[in-house]
Amino acid sequence: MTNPFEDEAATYLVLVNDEGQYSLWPSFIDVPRGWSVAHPGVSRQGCLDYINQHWTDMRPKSLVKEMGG
Amino acid sequence: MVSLDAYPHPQDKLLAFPEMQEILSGLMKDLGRDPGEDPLDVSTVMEFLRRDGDALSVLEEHHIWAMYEVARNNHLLASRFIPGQFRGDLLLFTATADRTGEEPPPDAWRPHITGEIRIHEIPCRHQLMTEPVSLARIGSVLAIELEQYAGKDATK
Repeated sequence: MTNPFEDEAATYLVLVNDEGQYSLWPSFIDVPRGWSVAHPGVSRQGCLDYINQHWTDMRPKSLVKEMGG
Repeated sequence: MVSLDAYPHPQDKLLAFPEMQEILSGLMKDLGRDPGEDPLDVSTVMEFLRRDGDALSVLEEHHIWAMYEVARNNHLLASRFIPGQFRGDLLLFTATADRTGEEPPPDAWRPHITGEIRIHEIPCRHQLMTEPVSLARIGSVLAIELEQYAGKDATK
C-alpha cells in the first residue's frame, strides 16, 4: 500500500493547531481533533511551499506568549 | 515511544566523536554551501549562518564551543550506557537523505523494545528533521498514531 503521507499524486491539506504548528494532511482522511484547515491545498508541493512560507517561527504559541512576544 | 532518527550506541565498538572541523563542514553543507578543502574556523561559519538567518546565528562563538563540549560529553555518557528494555511500541522516524551506509539499522533497537517497531522514513538529513516541512510530515503521522491509540483505549 502507498503511504498516504508520501503519495505525490494524492491531494493534501495544510492543517494548523492552537500552538501554530502545521501538518501536511491527506485530504481523504478526516481532520483530527485539535486541528483546523489552514490551506485547502491541492498538490503536495503546494502544501509544502505554504508550510515553508508560513511556519517561520518554530516556537509553539504558548512559548511565544510566555516569552512576552 | 517516539524517536527522531536516534539509535542506541553499538556495544561492540566505540564511535569517535567528530572534530569541530567536521561539524563546521557539516553546517556549511546544511546551508547549501561548499565547505571547501581548507580548515574552517567558527567565526567564518557563523558569518554564513548570520547571512542565511539561521537559528544558530543568534549565538556567540563561545556558545558554539560550549554546545560542542556538551555534545561531546553526551556522546561519552551514551557510549558508556547500556540501555534497558522498554515495554511497549517504538515509532521511529528515520532521516533518509545523505545516508553514508554506516548508520546503525533500525534493528539496533530490537533488543530494547518488547513491542512493535514501526518506521517512517522522512526524506531529509538528520539535522533538518525539525525544519517546518519535515515536522509537518512527522506531525501528521503522529496525529494518526495517537488517534489509533485513543481508539484502542476506548475499546478496552
